[in-house]
Amino acid sequence: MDAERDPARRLPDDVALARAALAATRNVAGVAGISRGRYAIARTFGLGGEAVEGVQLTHDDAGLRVEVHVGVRPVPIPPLADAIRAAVVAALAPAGIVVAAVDVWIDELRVDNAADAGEEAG
Amino acid sequence: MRILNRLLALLLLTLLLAAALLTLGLVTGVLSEALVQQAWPYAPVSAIARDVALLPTLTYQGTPIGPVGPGTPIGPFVVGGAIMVALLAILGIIRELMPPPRRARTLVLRGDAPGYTEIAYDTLDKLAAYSARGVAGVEQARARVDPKGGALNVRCQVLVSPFTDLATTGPEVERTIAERLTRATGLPVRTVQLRAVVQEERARRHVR
Repeated sequence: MDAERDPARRLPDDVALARAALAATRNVAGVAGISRGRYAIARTFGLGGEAVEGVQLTHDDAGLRVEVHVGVRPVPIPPLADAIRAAVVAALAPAGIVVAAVDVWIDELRVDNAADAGEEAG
Repeated sequence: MRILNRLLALLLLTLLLAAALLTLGLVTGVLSEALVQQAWPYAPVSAIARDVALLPTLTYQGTPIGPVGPGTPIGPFVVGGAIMVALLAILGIIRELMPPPRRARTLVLRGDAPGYTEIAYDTLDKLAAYSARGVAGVEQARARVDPKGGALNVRCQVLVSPFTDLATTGPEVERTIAERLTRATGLPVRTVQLRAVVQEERARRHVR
């Protein structure tokens, strides 16, 4: 709660965490890209106008709640969401962050890639 | 098309309600033939009003059906029937005037892990259409996925090549959509309603 009242202490860290979460999410197989958010833009803001789009962090008593917005290839979604969760938790663990939950938003299906046919068949 | 259908239904139901109320009025004596003629001076309407107004004075003359035998007055049956028709018409009008239920924006999947997964329904629509287009002979496809009781219902419209055997392509499209959606979401697909339109064969180019 203290961190929430003190933006100078929280926001720069949040941007770094958001970038780490974003990088981890991008590397998950089946993720075609990061989406800005479908109905509202998901952003994590930092000082000096810095912002990371596609990830939103919320601090609460249970820990950090991460919301990631992704575009996916046609793959089974529940396993993909679990893989994203695991990747985000693993990416933020070295910073000593307790991740309470990772909400995964599947905003888009991207099927324009020729490799999708083979990936989907597998 | 949907708006036109609704307007036609409303018109029909309003006419039905008016007919039922008119019958009730004439049978119970609230309205008279003269009043109807004054409101709508048209001979066939006057004849109908006169006939309807005479209904309470008539008796049943056919073979006995249960408690109804020859000589039973038919007035109460006419009143009961008119009330039922009026109620049904009112219910129908209310139903047509109510806005149709809207689909939620996202499908929420909850697993064992902390956090939830939200999938935009547009994404599922796109996946269903993409799956249909993967079937041989399907040129274009549009789909809409709706949730119902923990399962999914799909409506799909496909444009198929004129050289396609619909008897095999149709079930194949349905099966493919259901399989892909189930695999993607983990939810069962209850129904796939498919509408296939056969593409017109293109005019042959004449070479001189």
